[in-house]
Amino acid sequence: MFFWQILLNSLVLGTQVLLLAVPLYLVHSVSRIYHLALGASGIFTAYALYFALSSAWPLGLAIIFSAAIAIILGFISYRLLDSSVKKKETMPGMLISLAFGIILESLISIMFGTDAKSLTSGVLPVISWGSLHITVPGVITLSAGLVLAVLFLIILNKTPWGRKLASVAENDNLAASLGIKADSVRVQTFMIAGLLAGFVGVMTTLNTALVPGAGFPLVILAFIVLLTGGLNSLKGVIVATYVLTLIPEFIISLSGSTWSLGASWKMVIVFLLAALVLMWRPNGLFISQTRCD
Amino acid sequence: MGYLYTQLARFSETAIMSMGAHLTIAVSGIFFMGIPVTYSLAAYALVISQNFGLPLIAALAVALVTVLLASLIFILAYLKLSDDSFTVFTLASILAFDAAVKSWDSLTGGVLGIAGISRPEFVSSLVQLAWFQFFLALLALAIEQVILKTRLGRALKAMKEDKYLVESLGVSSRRVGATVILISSLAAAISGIVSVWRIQFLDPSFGGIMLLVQIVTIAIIAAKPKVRWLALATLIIVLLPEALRFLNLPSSIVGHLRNLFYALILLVMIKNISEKLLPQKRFI
Repeated sequence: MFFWQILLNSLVLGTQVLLLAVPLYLVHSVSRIYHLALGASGIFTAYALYFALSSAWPLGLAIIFSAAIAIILGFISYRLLDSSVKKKETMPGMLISLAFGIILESLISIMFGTDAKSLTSGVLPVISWGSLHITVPGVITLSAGLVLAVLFLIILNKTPWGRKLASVAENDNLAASLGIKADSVRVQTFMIAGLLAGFVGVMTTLNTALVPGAGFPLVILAFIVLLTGGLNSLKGVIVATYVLTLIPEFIISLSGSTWSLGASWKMVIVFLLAALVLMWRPNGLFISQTRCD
Repeated sequence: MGYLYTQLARFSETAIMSMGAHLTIAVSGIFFMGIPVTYSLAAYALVISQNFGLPLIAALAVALVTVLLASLIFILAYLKLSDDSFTVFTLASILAFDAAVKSWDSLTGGVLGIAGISRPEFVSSLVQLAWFQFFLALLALAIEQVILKTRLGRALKAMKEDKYLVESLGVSSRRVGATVILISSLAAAISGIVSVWRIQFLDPSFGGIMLLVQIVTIAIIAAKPKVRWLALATLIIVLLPEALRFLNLPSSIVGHLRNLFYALILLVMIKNISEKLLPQKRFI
């Protein structure tokens, strides 16, 4: 039963990372830029929800407000990165995104302080099944993750929008010559990514606590997953997410009797695992060939 | 007077570290983000070795070897990964190092850190330390000036233009890249050691993402491969946020305002001078 509880916890954590890896994958597809600000954008959205709830706004209005903030942040990111995308300046784009993320984190710290806050009061509701326990936000994260993963696989592979996105990702000039508005596809992608990041920010902080710097570790973890899975393979990203969250969880849980590793070692183990995988397969586990420009 | 010497020391520490960032990011176009790791690693290795009873010279040697090992990992990553992936990998190393320092509290003191670090006798006062650091900063800038004039410097500048063209001219871009990462790591390590002598306290906040933003901002402002630009950019970035001290703001937000300031400068500078970071566009 111990094994199943660890599996369940890892699935929740993995799904949070996956939910952030999917928008990162989408943004990278259409812009070739590693959008480092997505984590901070998600946490900013969670703080917007916290502000609305602590101001005694109705729940529906609070959710609409925070969703609007997430979409606006997505749009601002697009405007900031637009020129880098068009000039194909991926490195300056990444630094712009990093700077934007730090601006968001600093604004949060100035407005709300750095002490941990909680979106809910009291103990989180827990669902028990035998000796297995999972929090309600955990269930929502898990269900949303599974639904969104399947939905995005379908949208990207089977719908006209997915084909437009794929064509912009492949060659935006060629796509434009065929009448596809690359800018429009990009701005939609950035706003969807902002919304998804906001959802992850809220779910993550529901399960733990609301702190300004929570976004950066999450986004870096998602990037490690992207690199390990392979930047052009959504299936690879999904598999790598669960592999990279399950293995450290098991190492830490099983280490109790011999070395007693704490949960804080998780990031170190993930980094070492990713380093080993990337040294072996630099393009990721699921990419066998890459196309050169 | 103590305040002025502290600022001199801060300028010197930042200049030594930024020399590495300037060579990697601005001169050769390698976006190496692991500088805060080697900066903190050297400081931790030195202090821990001294806590185990090693004399200063031996502790310095341990710190140097530790940083060399870490830079070997970065070099391996540079040789194996694509440019973007290498940058993300080195960014992730900052978080992994931070997690390791916080977790291994029997060795590093965890989040509480290590207090009461003593300075070596030859820099026992702040004045001596500040002048020593200033001397090291001048030395670092002189070394960069020399590097830029040598075959290595020319290869670095050429690598930013076109890595494959450099290869076709018989220069190993892999070796040049590895060399500059090594130089950058060692410069950060020296800066970390002299910084910890000034602060006399070491905890996980030593280094980290904000330090990275600061030095990347300096490297980007000093976009040209000129040492005087680097010195000027360092001076501006170190001293400008000091104005916040005189605005009578609550102490709890001054640090965040400084971070906001650095990030805003970084964003504005990249938006305006990004073409200087990239190979020059040539039309034939």
